[in-house]
Amino acid sequence: MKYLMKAYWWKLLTVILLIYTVIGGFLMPAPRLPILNETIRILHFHVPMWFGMIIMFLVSVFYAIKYLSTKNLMYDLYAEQLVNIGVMFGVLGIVSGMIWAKFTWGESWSNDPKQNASAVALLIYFALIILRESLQDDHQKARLGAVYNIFAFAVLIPLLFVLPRMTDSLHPGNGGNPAFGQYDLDSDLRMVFYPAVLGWTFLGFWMATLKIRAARLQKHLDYE
Amino acid sequence: MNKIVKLLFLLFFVGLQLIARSQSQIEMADDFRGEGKIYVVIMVVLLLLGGIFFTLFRFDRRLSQLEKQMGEEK
Amino acid sequence: MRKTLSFQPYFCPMDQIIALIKKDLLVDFRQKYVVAGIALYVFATIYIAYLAFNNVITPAIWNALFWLILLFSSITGLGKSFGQEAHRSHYYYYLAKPVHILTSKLIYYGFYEILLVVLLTGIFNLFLGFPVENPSLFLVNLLAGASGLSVCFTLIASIAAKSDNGSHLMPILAFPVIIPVLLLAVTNSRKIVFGASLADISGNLWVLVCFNVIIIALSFILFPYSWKN
Repeated sequence: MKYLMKAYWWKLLTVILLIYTVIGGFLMPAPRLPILNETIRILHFHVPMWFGMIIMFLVSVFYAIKYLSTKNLMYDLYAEQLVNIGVMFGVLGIVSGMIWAKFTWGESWSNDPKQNASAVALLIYFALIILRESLQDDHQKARLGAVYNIFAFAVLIPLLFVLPRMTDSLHPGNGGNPAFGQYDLDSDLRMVFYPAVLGWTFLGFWMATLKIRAARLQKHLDYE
Repeated sequence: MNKIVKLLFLLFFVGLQLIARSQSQIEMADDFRGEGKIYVVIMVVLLLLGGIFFTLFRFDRRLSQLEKQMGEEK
Repeated sequence: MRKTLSFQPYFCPMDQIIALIKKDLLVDFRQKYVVAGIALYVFATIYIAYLAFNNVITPAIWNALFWLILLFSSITGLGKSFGQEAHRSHYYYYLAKPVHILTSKLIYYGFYEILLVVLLTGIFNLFLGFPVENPSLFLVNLLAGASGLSVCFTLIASIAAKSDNGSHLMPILAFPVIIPVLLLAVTNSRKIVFGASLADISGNLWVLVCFNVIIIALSFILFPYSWKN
C-alpha cells in the first residue's frame, strides 16, 4: 500500500481514462432512446460515482478488519479516509442523480426505492463519521469506528441491492425494469462506460491516498 | 352508421401513427453537434478537469517532498 | 429481604448466561423507575395519538402510528441496555466471556422487547382499536420486526455506551441502520392490515428473517471488539 500511495503510474492512468471518458462520452455515438435523448451520456458520470463509493467502502471494511486484528492505527487511518472520500462520492452521486431525474423522470426526488435507499446509506455513513468525532481516545475511536463500519457495510449491501429489486422502481435493473444490458449497453456505451468506472474509482483512491498522507504528516508534526 | 364512424376513427388514428413513425427519429442533439458546438462543451469540461488534475499533482508532489524531509530528519 | 447475588466463577456456559440474565433482572427490579419510565413513555405517546387521531384514524394511519411508537419506545428502552456496564466492565473481564455477556443481553432484551410489544399492542387496542384483518399474520410480522429492532439496538447500544454522550449518540447511530428492517416490516404490516395472505408477504418476511440472522451473527463476531477496552 505504501508503494501504491507514492507511485505515479496509476495516477497518470486516471488522468488518461478521465480525459477519454469526457471526450468519448460526448462525441461517441449514443443509443437513441425515448425520454432520455442525450442525457444517457450522464451514465458515464453518475453510475461510476456509485461504483466508486461501493468499492471504497469495501476496501475501508477490509482495513477496518485489519485494524481489529492487528491494532495498528495506520489501518484505521486508511479506513477513515476511504470512508470520507466514499461519502463525498455518494453525495455527488445523489446530486447528479437528482439533476438527471429532474429532466427525465419529472421531479428531483420521486420516492424511487433506490433513491431512498442511497440516501439512507449515506445517513448510515454520516452516523459513522459522527461516532468517530464524538470519541477522544485514538484506539477507542478506531475500535468502535471499525465495528460500526463493518456493521454499516453489512446493512448497506441488502439495502442498496436487495430491497430496490423487490419493489417498483424507476431505476433500470430494479423493480421489473430491464437491466442496462437491454438498453444497448452492448457496443456503443460500454466502450466508454467501463473505462469511466475505472477512471472515477482511481480518482477516488487518489484523493483518499492524498488525504492519508497529509494526515500522517500532520500526526508527525503533532508529536514533535 | 355507427360502425362506419368507428371504422373511420380507427383509420384516422392508424394513419396518424404511421405519419408520426415515418419520421421515426428520436430527437437527439444532431444539429448541435453538426454545428461543432459540442467541441466547445468538451473544451470547457477538459479545462476544468485539467485544473483539477493540475492541483492534485501539485499537492501530490508537495506531499512527497514533505515526506522526504520527514524521513531525513529522522 | 434483599437478595444478594453471589457471582462465583461458573464453568458451564449456560450457568454463566443464566447468572447474567438474573443479574439484569435484579438490576431492573431494584431500579423499577427505569421500566416504569418506559411504560409511561408508551402510555403517554399512545394517549396523545388518541387525542390527536380520535375519530379520523384509518387503518393505514393506525399502522404507521403503531410502528412509529414501537420504534421510539424501543430506542429509549434498549438504549439503556449497556448503561450499567460502564462502571463495572473491569469486574466482568475476569468472570464472564464476552460471548456469554452478549448472549445474555440478547436473550434478556429480546424478552424485554416482547414485553414492550405486548404492552404496546394492549394499550393501542384499548385506545385506538385493532383494525387488522389478519391478526395472527400481523403478530408473526410484528415478532420478526421487533426481534430485528432488539438485536440491532443491542449491538448499537454496546457501541454507544462506550462514548461520553452515549444517550445522545444512540439515536444517531441506530436510526439509519434500522431503516431496512422498518421498511420491510412496515410495508408488510400495511399489506396485512388491508388483508394480505402469507403468500403476499413471504418474500419480505424471508428477507427480514435473513437480515435478523445476519445481524445476530455479526454481533457475535464484533461484540468482543467493542467490549474490551
